[in-house]
Amino acid sequence: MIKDIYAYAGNILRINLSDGKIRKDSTLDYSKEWLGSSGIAIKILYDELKPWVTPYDPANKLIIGAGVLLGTPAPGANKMNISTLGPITGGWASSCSDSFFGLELKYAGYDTIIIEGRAHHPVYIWIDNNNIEIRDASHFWGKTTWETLEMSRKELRNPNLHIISIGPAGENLVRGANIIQDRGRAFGRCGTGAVMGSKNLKMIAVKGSGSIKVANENKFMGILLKIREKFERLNKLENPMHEYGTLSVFYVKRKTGTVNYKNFQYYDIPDALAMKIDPIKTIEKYKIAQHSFPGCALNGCGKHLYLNEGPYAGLTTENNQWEVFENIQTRLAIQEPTFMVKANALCNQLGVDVDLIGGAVGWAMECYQRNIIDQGDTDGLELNWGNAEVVLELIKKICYRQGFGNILSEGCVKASSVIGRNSEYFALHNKGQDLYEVCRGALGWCLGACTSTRGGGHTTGAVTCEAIPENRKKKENWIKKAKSVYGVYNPHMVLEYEGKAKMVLYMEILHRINNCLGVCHFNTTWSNPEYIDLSELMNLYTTATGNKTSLEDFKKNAIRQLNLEKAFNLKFTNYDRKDDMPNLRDMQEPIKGSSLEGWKIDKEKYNKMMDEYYEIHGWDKQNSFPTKKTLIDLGLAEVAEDLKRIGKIGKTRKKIKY
Amino acid sequence: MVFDMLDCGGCKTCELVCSFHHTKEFSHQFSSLKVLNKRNYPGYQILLVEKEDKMNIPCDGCKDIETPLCLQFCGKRDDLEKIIYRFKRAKLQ
Repeated sequence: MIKDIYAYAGNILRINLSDGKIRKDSTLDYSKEWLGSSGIAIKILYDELKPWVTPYDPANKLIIGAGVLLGTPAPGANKMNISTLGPITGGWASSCSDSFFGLELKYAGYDTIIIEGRAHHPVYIWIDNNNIEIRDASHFWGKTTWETLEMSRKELRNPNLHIISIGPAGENLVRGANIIQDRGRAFGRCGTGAVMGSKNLKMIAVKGSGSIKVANENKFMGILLKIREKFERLNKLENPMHEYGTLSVFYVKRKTGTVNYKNFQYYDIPDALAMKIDPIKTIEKYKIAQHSFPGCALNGCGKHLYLNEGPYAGLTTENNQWEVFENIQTRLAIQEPTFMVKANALCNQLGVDVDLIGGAVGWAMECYQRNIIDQGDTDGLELNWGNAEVVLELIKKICYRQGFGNILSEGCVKASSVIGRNSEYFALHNKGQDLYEVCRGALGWCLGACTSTRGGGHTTGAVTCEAIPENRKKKENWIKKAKSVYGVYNPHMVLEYEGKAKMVLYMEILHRINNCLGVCHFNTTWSNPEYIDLSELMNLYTTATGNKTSLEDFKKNAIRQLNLEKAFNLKFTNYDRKDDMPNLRDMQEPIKGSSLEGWKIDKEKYNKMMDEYYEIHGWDKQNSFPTKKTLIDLGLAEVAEDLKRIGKIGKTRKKIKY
Repeated sequence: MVFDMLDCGGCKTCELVCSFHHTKEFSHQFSSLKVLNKRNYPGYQILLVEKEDKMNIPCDGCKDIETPLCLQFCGKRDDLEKIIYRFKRAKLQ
């Protein structure tokens, strides 16, 4: 390892699967301007992918990056990012996951791996420090991610080996295929697993024996201990994430009336069903051990579960998080409480995004309810709400692209274009990607999800904190702190349009900084305004890397990335303002069946909020395109020229301050 | 010496700070404390290194500071403290 590099491992590894060539570049060529991980990835993808490249083209690149702080005990420093030109939106695809793999990668000497080309037959990559091999993976092809982990640990004679792999879904180019770390943590969204499958790459295993140094060790450790003390105090008051992971939001989500039931037709589940499938009780009943990742100041959100009864008895797996509960269990009205555990395990084994499953199957079930499709379309399956066995069957059919599953494997909106019959209205998506986010009843959440450059998702700008004070013990403290963090007077008022654009901008910056540094969002002000804020993140970054920066410049790094993601989308897609809007259903239907009964989006106010959103970004509010001045201010003059050339440069903007 | 730690989540933060105590760098390799997967069952065990060899540095209880670093960074500090105490007692015997 190069001795004067701090926090970074120092190398970017390029592996070309077409010709087997392997090259190392210096991370420092990118790190100053693009921080790390997802920031470096968008820079490389924008610069190196020609406009004619398509997602499954060998010329596409899959970029796997470990965050800057990975390898240190910084709070929540365990995230990796995988980015590529994605097969669902056709544009920027980016997904993060908790990772021991990333730790090993850094200790092996690499911050980022760039996968180029396409192997002629199934292969895997074995990185053992300096020794890198591309090996035959014919015997792994067709195996689940769990089988691949077991087999690779035996083959490489290391019972503690960490890998990332694809399952059958990735091999079969299912559009929502994901990449799984070990058994239970997914690079879930955007179809990165399908791109990995298109390259004939089954798995990457890594072992690292090196170490990471920080620039100012005393100051760095001092900051860490201070943050630890803060979390010790806060965790004593309450730590719901540690108790139940994101499933802990169950009661507050019911109270605020934003639980997806029957494909967003209703915004809460019936009380009798809630009693029956209460996920908190399920976790309590079946938990057998804890599960956590490096640095987590919340002491981990994972539990190992063992189902000792019921239809899925014998299953041992990590608990699912809220997304599976709301997007598969309640969206599809399943009555069996352990179904969420089984469905999550099956999706992880086969390597598919739980949100594609929820989106595509939810759409299909609503179409079946409305007689838009029938058993003639569904291979004879009865797609009635609550039919658990049919859902499990459909998950398999999707991942193996069989029959009706072959249509659903493209995601709900593409499936609706195949079926037609006015079924598009029931396909809830953003930029083509199946949408899990409940868009009515929480405006900052909705705005952040719908304007997301990666197509939906709530980790690239969505505001999660609006409704949370309802669940907090010291609610007044929480609100006071939130006001100062987000700079708005009403951070807890979910139904007010004012201030939401500003909150989303804050979150867009925070999420990108977190992703670059490899810090889990839940350790930061995303989930609680008292947790780690941007100043603390900047101090961790400067003491770890030795790179000096100001808070303004630190934030500007994130905005630069956001603008390049936007430009990347403009280069490869035709997205504009209309693609940043909620679905028609969300824009016109009032909420049914929840405490927000009758509430609906005010179109005029929503559009005004959108105007404000574009204005504070320096983007043209007519079409959402960045202006030349905005890009030049961010050091992206060449990008401005590119956009001008393709007629996608914004014309007017207001003066902005990030 | 290996100890069961029922509530350990296997985050390995203790390993990183232990190696920092010995080498001023973060790694798995130079930690006196290793978090091991239990065989055939979910959960974790803690191995504390007793004797020095090529690959291992023994636990010195962070003798130069009041509270060992692994305890300062462990979310299940009380449980780990008991293990460290049992380890020290066993070494003395």
